[in-house]
Amino acid sequence: MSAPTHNLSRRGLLQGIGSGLVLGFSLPALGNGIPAPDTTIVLGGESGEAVHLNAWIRVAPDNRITLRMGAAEMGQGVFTSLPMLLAEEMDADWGSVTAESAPAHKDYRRGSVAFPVKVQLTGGSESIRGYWDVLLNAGAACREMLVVAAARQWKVNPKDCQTASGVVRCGDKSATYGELAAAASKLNPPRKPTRKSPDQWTLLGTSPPRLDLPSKVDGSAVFATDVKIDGMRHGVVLPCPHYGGTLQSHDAAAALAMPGGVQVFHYPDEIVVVADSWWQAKKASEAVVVVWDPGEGAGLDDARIDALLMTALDGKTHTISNHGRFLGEVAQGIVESTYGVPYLDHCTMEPMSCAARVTADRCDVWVGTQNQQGSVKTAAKLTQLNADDIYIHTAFLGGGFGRRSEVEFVRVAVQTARDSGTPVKLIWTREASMARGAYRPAVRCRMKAELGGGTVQTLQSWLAAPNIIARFAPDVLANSKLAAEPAIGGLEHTPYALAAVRSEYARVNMPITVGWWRSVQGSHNAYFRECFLDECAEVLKRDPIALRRELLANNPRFLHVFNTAVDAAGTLPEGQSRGTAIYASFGSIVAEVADVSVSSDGELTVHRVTAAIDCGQVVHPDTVKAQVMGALTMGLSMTLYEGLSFKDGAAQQLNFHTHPLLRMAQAPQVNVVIVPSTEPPGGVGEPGLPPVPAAVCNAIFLATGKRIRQLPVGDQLKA
Amino acid sequence: MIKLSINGQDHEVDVAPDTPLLWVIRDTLGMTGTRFGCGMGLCGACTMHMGGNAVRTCILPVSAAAGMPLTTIEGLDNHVVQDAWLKEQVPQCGYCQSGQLMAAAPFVEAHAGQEPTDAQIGAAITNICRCGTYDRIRKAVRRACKALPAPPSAAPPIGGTGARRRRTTQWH
Repeated sequence: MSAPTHNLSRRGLLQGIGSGLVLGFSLPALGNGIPAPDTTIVLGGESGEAVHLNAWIRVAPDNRITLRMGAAEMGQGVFTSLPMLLAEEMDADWGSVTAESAPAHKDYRRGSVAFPVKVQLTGGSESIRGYWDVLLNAGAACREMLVVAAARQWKVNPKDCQTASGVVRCGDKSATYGELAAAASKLNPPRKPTRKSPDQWTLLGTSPPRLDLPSKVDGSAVFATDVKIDGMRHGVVLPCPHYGGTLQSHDAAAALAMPGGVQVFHYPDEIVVVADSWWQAKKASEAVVVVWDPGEGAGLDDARIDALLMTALDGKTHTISNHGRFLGEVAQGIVESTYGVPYLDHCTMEPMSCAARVTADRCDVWVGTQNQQGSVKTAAKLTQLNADDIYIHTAFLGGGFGRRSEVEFVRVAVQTARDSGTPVKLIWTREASMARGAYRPAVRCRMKAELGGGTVQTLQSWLAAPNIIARFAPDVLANSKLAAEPAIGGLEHTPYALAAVRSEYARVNMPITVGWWRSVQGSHNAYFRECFLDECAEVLKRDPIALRRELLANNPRFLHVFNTAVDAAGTLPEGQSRGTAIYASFGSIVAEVADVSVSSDGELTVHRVTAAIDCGQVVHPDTVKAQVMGALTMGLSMTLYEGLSFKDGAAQQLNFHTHPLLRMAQAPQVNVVIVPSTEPPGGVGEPGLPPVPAAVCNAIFLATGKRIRQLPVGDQLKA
Repeated sequence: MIKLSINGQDHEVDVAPDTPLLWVIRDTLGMTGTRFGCGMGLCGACTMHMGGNAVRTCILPVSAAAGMPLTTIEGLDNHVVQDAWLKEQVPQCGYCQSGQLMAAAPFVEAHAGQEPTDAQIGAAITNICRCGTYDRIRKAVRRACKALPAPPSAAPPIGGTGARRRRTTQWH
């Protein structure tokens, strides 16, 4: 495969338009104002005039097949797994397949699992699930068109033709897809293409090398930070550090006198400094004298945050679920504990970055975004242009994890390009990136269990947290059960055989921006529930593994996943302790086993984490393993080290010396087992994260007798 | 003007001498494979080689690199670590991986033919990967070490381990 080209002008497939061959269904109507397929990422090239068979697929005379991806590649492998869906049904030769990013356009939307809308948004571990039928159908339709084209040419019945590896055959006749594409593109696509049954798959379920990786080991992959545009200037952002605050005054005189043609733009929420080079902009930004008004953020510190959350926990809560009968006075024992987690930043390794160019009749945005649709809307509003005149060029994302579903960095780049009159590329400093995030909310949760008959009988949870959806929805929706889901989901029901489950939610309003952080509520609720279950096991004097097996006895799919993880973990080495946890999220079930040791001076070592995942039908097993490994490693980082503290509504940890992240020396060995399944596909990017904190903290308890009820673990074992 | 020798090619740049090498390479010379992560030398995304050693260039003034042989990811040139990274399918988002590879290359050359432990690798390569690819990085590092023949003597000559199939770096 050749290196990806970084092409910022409209690309060659307009050539195909000129030759009048584009007739495929759901193809963007090129040339009448809808975004051209002008992409930032093109993996591999093609020669000659490629022909579109539909919005997703084009075939070149040299048989190269380019598949366009509506989802963004942020490391989760969709630039390989989604093309596999198309290639499988097309019977394409995988070796001739390349991928590129699609423009923001309604044709590239998918159904959402979580909400009843169609979106071009990469998140919610939904790419495979959301594009499953769309891409399998598109691939199958394409195959049928190629077959019909061949059959007409040979004057044979299409039913007598076979396809394999990019070739149509009938008797002794054969033609490649490249030879047939032009004729096929003139056919009407079938309304109901015939798809393969899973036992006919030859590509799905295998692990071809990821298409994007060559560009990621030779440095040629293009992230938004790497974009180059003619006449581009460079910018640095000074965001208001206080959530709820605003710009009070600033003096840019010294900055404007510095080299590099410095410009300073000020907005209510930030100051942007632009210069000929990023470093000149950075140096000039240090010379800007700014006074921020902390506004609503005044006085908001850790003690105040804790008080707000705990007061809400003790105050009026909304009942989210209440099933079954509680034991009340006949309970043979009660266990009650309160847990807490802090605000968390995503810490994507690529700081926020976006380039933009605004002219009278169009706006181009180069950005690593999970939210193409939101980026269009943001740019259209700022430029007063029609959505059709906004061109989003999706670059690779240097980490997404939910952070790049936000569009505030697109807003800042577009408004700066608009106001400066030149194309600009903004790269946030690490400090700026962390100061204005969309954090995982701080949460407090009280859990109560009734015991009886030597087991756990009922479970109740009271949870207080800021609401993620409130920012996107009117108040009437923000108080709904739907809006409570990203806070309390996973506690409103459990996989366990319990007589009764009840969950209560208290929404806490704070000016700190909260958003979607990898696995969302799973990042805390699995920790609360699964650690608390181990607390119950302790009171019951039961082995936590045996107790889980008993409570999952009537839930065979969960039990099998749990047993698979425990079996795969094997014999526990002497001197180590083993914790377990199981949690389902995003349509998949994950159990994890953590083997740890704690030295006499409180030094924790997480030696090994074993995970089992049932994510239904698997497209690319190696990517599933990589995602579970990555998610649990990120989850371990959060468990051990991460959390933001605040002063006057401003985050106090803004770079990695005060905000450590897990490094290789602390990274455990990881073993991921995929449980074979014929169920519909589940999500993969996030479900590996939630069980980690509980598995690790449960192991810590067995090693030390110390319950970790507040994350991160930090220095708690040293006390 | 400051003279730089990068991937075997000489360049002259007209920049403030305190400009970090990273930004000269990225913005002035247009080689964007080396990435900005923290600006404090904490994460390693900006790692390059200077005189054969891995250095974090977001805090290295360009004046300190003048005349030194520099290698960026663009000049790593089919190094055995890149092949091992592909075989183990290491990268996820990929943003930190140029730095990881540049940090790994000298370590691998120094451990040719050996099988370093997790602890040795973890002590030597301290770059941050938020995607959590560490376990695969360790596997790839060991694979790369094995792929290199052990040197006949204890101390291999700088740049002479055969790690690069096609070596473009000029050692002065």
